[in-house]
Amino acid sequence: MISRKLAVAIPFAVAVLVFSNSVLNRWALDDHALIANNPAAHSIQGALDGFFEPYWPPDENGHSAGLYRPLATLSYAVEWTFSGGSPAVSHISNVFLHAFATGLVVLVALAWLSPLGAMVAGLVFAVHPVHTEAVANVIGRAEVMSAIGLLVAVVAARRYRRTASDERAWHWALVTLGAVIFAQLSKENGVVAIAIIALDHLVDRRPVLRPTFQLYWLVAALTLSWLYIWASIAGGAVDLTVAPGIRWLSFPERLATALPVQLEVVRLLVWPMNLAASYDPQLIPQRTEFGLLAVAGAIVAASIVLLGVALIRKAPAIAFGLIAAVISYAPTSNLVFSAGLMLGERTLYFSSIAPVLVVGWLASNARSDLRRPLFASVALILMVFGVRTVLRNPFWVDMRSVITNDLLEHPEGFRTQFRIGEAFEAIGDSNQALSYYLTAVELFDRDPFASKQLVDLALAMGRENLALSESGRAFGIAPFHADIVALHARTLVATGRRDSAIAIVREAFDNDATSTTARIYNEVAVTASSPDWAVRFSQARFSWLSGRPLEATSQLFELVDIEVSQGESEYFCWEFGKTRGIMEAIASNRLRELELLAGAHGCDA
Amino acid sequence: MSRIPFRPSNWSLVVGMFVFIVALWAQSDALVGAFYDDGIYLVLARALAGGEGYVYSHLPGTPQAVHYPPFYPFVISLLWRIWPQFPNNLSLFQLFDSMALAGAAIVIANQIRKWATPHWIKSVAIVTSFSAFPLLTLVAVRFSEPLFLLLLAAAVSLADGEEISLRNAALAGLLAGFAILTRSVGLAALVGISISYLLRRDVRSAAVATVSGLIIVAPWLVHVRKYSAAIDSRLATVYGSYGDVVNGAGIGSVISGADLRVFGPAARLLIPSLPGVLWWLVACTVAGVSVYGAFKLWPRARALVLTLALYSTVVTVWPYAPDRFVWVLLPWWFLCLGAGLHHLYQFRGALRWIAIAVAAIVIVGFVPREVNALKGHRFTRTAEAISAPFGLLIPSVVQELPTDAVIASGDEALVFLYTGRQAVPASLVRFERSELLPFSAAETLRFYCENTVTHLFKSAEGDPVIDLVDHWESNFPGVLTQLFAVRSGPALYEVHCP
Repeated sequence: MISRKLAVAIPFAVAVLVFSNSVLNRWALDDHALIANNPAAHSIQGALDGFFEPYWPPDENGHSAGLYRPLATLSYAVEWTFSGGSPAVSHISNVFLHAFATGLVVLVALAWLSPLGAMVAGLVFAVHPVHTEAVANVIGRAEVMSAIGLLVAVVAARRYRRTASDERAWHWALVTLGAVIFAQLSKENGVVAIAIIALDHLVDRRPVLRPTFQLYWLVAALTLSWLYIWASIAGGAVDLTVAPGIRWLSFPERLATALPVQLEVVRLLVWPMNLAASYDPQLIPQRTEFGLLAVAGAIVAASIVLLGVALIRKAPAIAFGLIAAVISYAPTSNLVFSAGLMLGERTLYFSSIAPVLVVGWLASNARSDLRRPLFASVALILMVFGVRTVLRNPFWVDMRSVITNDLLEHPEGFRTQFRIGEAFEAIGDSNQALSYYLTAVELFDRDPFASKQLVDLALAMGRENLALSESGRAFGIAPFHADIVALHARTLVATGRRDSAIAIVREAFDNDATSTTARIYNEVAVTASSPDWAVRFSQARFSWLSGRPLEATSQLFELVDIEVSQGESEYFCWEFGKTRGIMEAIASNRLRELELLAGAHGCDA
Repeated sequence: MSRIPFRPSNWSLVVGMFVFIVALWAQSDALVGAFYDDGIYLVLARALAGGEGYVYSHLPGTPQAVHYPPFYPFVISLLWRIWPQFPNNLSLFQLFDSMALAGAAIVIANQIRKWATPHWIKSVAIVTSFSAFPLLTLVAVRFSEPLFLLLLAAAVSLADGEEISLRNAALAGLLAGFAILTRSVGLAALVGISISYLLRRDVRSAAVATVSGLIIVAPWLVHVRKYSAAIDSRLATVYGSYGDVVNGAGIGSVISGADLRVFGPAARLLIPSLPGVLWWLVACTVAGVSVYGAFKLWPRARALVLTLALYSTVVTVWPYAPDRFVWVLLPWWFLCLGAGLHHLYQFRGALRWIAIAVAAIVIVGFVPREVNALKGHRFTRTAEAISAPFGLLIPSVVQELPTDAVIASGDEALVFLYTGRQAVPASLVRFERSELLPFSAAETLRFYCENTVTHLFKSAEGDPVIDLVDHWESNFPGVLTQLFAVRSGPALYEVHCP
């Protein structure tokens, strides 16, 4: 007979043991941007100062991602402060956080399973290979912390429901709220906390000793508040970080791509032997039409939900596992809305509770004649999973390991090829870099942003035709996107096609007169050696649209004495026409001479 | 005995969640300061958060603040310390104001549970009043009203509660004290609560409530007395103490303004356009029904009814426009009207028909206005239109004017918050009876020069600065140099003192 304490302690210890070799890892992939090179993650004060900033530091264009995870950043900062930036401490923290989450899974499972069944569930959770990305890569911690928050919230809400004392009830309500906000400030999918708590309430067969409406109200108000703050900090950047494989797809096209992914999700949860660092095309191809795989994905997804609902009374543990997995995975499934990943192993961290509870339930409810083969099978699974996890941990040892091993395992990943190209470019091997970039584009030619480095490198290598064809391809995909317009226009100028460059930036400004298109026009006007007056016109428009009217006024005043040849009339009239609204707004007689000049060149009113 | 003094019903929580969501939806992108007082509150909060004390840090000389009670700026200053990056931190303040309004809705909905008015009438009254566009306009800017309403509601709810104890009396007094520290007119609640205890012949509770409230308010009164003399007399109408306002207007002239205009804002909200005399007749009838409703609520809500009566009296005799003061109590006005209609309807004959007619008129008057205001978020357009000219010039001021520039503007707090440059009011006013009159252009110029004003900001058409600019350009050539102007829009001038 296994005690409840032992049921928690053994999986905790196994989790530490199985992931112990990950403490030798260093920084890999996003660890660099979010920790090693992020000043906010290097001191507690820095993290507190940046508490209301997006998770990702802004790029050179000032763009960030639609992510807000201040507690994750704060945790990195605490470690950095005490370890001086040693990755080992961060990895040790990850291992113990995972072990803690494992213990909580056991506590949650104990509501429905025997201590033995709950312990088996905990053991499967402890060694599940799909957790390696979340645990062995430091920034995967956001998933673990969020899962901890969700699990504590479930346990605390249970206590709230089952206490008769008002005072204790309020204590448990506060713990629940604390856990919910911890989950939400660790990772955005903490937003599902209220649904997970409600699900547990639904499948919990034990008597409820007090009204629960107030608790749900508080969690809902907290979630709404968090959503409001999240939207003001990072909500505006969500569209900028949609995964390349689904970017700019219509809703049916997105479903056609995302539904087959659900089969891959099930595979990763059930038999996670084949793992990858990223699931971009062509690991997961972009599909624009429904096929058999999409239908199969839809059937499997619907079956999981239906099975969960059907088992609420008969097997509440399985019902909770299946439905909770669906709820927690839904925000990143690309079925509800576009997410930043096609699929990520770390995003399945909490969802792994589904297979975990299925195995735990089997162990808890097996008929006596089936116990022996069942436990033999479970032991085998634990051993296979454990070995796979131990072997997988070093994959995340550092950047080089990740990108080289990922190339060996998944050469079909376009981003993998791209990362290798970046690595070669960083060490100055342009030929190799270009070769990998081209392979990446050949694998997936629907990501216009991937062309930027390829075009820059091609121009630097004097491969003008290649640069032009690549920027043209990117422009063909996203002619409405300012960065892509800028890329193509810059390439056109660099290859001596000044008129074409002016024409596309002019069209972009005509279509959408914003400070961004005005800036791009101004940059192209300068680099394309446009007449001085054209540059000044474009500078004035850019200043005005950027909210600097004083500067725009003085730039327009400088235009008063210009001379324009008759051959430039059409060009001048376009510039004048596009600036006329600003001149009319500025109440100054000094600009009258410009209007006279426009009249002399036959510009339309 | 339970340690939890307040147990909201599920219904009140549902109402609260509705109000919370509506209040968050109502938030606008207008710059803070568009409605003037909102900017001052944030300037004061910023000064408190920065450890400068309770001072007008936007004014040269940073005088002590004596006009605006400190509780709302103090609460905002705590949030400011948590999230110091202005204007990004506005979303936290918006969240707080929305929560305060939702809290007020919960307290009021909870209090009225046992009133005799049918549940559906109470539900309609509370939901429509809390989503009425005037109240949403208040919660959409950084005004103290949501917090004030919460404190007021909690105070009268405790005083009118079934559990009578000295603890509750003390708590009601404390809450009323904090309401006074949020908006001075909260004094009506402290007096109303104390009288309601006296009417119950509970002298001890009345004394405890009064003393508790006064203890909370006393330090503020001492502060005002100590520092009000330091405010420049030309700024006294806006920045001076309320004593300065009364002195300026003259107490007799203030009382002569008692023209029952307190009913004006609600009547303009509820009654459709009707020919003159008829409109007044209907307005008086609606007011009468509301007063009748309050009379019927009296047995269960003495503190509330007394507070409303005293509040209305203060607002009526006070020289400021009553609208903002009235909107904040809209939920209670609606509940009184609903109760009045319900009880009138209980009679047979003419009174029942009057109730039906008043209800129909109010629906015809209110619903189209409400739909029109909510459609496309129109109720926030005034604030957005006021702030648009500032939005146009602020980046230039930040980038191109020296950091020690002092700017005269119609929205000096807004200019200070967004540019970091000290700012003074562009035009100076004083009360004469209940009318606001401007100081002369020459006196205004003298004020500018004494306060080292370097720039003058004209926001848009209708800005009183336009008259000043015209006057100075005609009579004092060389005082102003136009740096920038948009036709029919904002302009920036450099000021050269003669």
